[in-house]
Amino acid sequence: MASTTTQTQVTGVRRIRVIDRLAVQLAETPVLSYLLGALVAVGLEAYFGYYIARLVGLRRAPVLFGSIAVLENFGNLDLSGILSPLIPASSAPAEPWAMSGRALINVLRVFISDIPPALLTLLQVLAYDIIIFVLPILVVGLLARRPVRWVVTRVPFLLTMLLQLVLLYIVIRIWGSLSDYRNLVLMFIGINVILTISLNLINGYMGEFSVGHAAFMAVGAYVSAVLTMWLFTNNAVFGEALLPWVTSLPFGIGNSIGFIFALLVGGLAAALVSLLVAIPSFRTRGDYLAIVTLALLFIVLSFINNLNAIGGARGLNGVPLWSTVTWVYVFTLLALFTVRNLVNSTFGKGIIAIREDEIAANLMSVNTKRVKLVAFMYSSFLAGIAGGLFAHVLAYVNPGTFGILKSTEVLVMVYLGGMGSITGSVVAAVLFTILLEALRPLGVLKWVIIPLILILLMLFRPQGLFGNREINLNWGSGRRAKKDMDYEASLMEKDASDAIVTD
Amino acid sequence: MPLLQINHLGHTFGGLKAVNDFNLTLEEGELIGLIGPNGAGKTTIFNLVTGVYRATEGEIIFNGENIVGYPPHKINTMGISRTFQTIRLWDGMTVLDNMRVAHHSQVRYGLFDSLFHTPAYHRQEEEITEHSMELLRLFNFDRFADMPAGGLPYGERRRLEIVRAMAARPKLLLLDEPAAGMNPGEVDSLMEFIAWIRDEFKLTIWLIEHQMRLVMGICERLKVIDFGSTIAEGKPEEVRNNPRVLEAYLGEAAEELG
Repeated sequence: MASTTTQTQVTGVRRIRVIDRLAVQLAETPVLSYLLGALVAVGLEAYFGYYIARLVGLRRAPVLFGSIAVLENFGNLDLSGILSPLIPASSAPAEPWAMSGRALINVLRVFISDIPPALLTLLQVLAYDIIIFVLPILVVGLLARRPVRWVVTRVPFLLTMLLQLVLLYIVIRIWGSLSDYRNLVLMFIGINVILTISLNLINGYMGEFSVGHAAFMAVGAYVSAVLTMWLFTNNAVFGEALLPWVTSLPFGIGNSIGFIFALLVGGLAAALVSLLVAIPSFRTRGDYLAIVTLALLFIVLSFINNLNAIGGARGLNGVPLWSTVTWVYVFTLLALFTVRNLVNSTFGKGIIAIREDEIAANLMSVNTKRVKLVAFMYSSFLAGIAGGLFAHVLAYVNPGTFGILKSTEVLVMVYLGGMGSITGSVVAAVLFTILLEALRPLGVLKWVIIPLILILLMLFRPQGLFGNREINLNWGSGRRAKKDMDYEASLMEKDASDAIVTD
Repeated sequence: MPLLQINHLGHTFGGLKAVNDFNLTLEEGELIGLIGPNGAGKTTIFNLVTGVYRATEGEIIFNGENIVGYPPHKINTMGISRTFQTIRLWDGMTVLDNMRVAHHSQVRYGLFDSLFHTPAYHRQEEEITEHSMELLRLFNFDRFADMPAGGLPYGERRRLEIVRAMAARPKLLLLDEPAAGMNPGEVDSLMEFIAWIRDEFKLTIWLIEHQMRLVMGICERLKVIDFGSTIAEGKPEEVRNNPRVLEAYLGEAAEELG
């Protein structure tokens, strides 16, 4: 009896050690290695995706990892009539509560009958995702680990980083090439990453509370859209292009120059607007800043609504479709790179010191007013850029897009990822954008589920997924990778010695 | 020329006169103490000198310049650094980052340099980090450099606040109750520590303290205030036997003794 207990204990310890070692290996595997795996995965999907989808019983390859396919099963829930007794209507039914009860029962019945097919689809897409994505990434990632590490320890860090970014770009392009919808989602992801990281600078790193981020996005969107339409393209709103020679420059660089110019001016305009609000509002703190930024949001929206020259409430139609996955990718990288640099600099650490203790920061030589202003303006600048990219995705902007819901969405992404975490912001923006798209089949229910997620998050993980920590990935700096190898070697040595002891 | 000259300094909060006709001349290299019962206005005077509040009356002349109305960061940059009655480190940041931020006024690069880490950025960051590490090494904090400041034990955090105050290369150091919450043994080593940094950095030190052991032990001159007004000043021995001081500090007990 006693011996069996020790036996199980020993195997228990063994098992934990195996899992630990696998976790260590997965964490220490260079990102480059995983990217190779991802490349194999998207290649596999491009060539065999359809057949594997048929094999597991799906009609076609799932678009967003199958999330939409699963939820589509619940697409015919009819919620109308449940709340009718509470809503005054001109022609009230004879028995409002009974009607409502029947509607509720009907919804529940449909919901329950939808569960089995949804579960079946879930199994099918899981099988698809595992075969196409999880297995290749893990297997190739782990197999390529050693040669990749051999390479990255010998190649300058800058080169490795460049290689990784190019590889990521190729993976994204292959993944997106399978449908236009995927490209659209990719662009929304990038735009949301920029928005999240820029709001994180204010709400996370600086510890202020701004709810008017959509206002700066709106300014950027409108200013850049007006510029590209007015200066560079012919359209119904502004007539002929003012500077047609720009777009006729050779090799298509004209469009690029025009687009970058419009985006930058849009960002600068947003930064200027933020200056108008920042100077008076930084005399106040906390709740007051929230109210001031909220007021700004409404001012900007009513301004746009009443400006008929740019479409007013009807919106602005005919914005050139200049946003591409490539542009969004480039600007997302720039936003991440600059914000990371900023918060790691002594200048930017002043922003964090303001969050921790503003008076102490001011007394220890931080010009708090200036630092807050600069951070606020740069954050708004990035939001303006995101707005500009957004305006050129759908060829149409209207003021309704930039309402308080948009601000809330960005806030949710910031809090989901964690205040003051760049990697957290990226993960949250990716997850949340995909979730928003996946919940589309549910219609109105989307706005029940998303707040519910937010409430659960605040209850069980108020610091967000990652708090203010960063996810440690092995990006392949030579020194770092070498240290990891030493660490792994020491682990193996320890294992070997342990084995000797147990024997 | 004295390093710091305060003439007829006065400050009122609403109708309350917190500081009234406070005068002080501080020569370079002095180590003086400001004492007085709770609520006497000591910390308010520090807050006036460092620019947290703007004095309603009088002038504060530092190095020949009237600094009344200057913002705190400018006064710190001019060479007045301080610590706080309750520790005000940036707890969530590492010890090294606490030191780096205290160099904030020495940053000469602009936003663009910090966004793109230009050569100018690297040059200045290296200087700042080097000076930070130099100070940390000098005070035996280098092994904690990567630890969050909030994770250090209480006494170490008090000392770190002093080290952080040294980052601005101050001429005048204001210590607000440096011995608060310390036991007699710790107070002894703190006294040695204060005397040592004064000699090492050729500092002028002005401190607020409640613990008579420390004040009597290292201060060359004392100033006693109560209800915002000066009630006594002079050498520690003289002040100790001043009846007005005894009354203010010990109240009825002194009268009983007397």
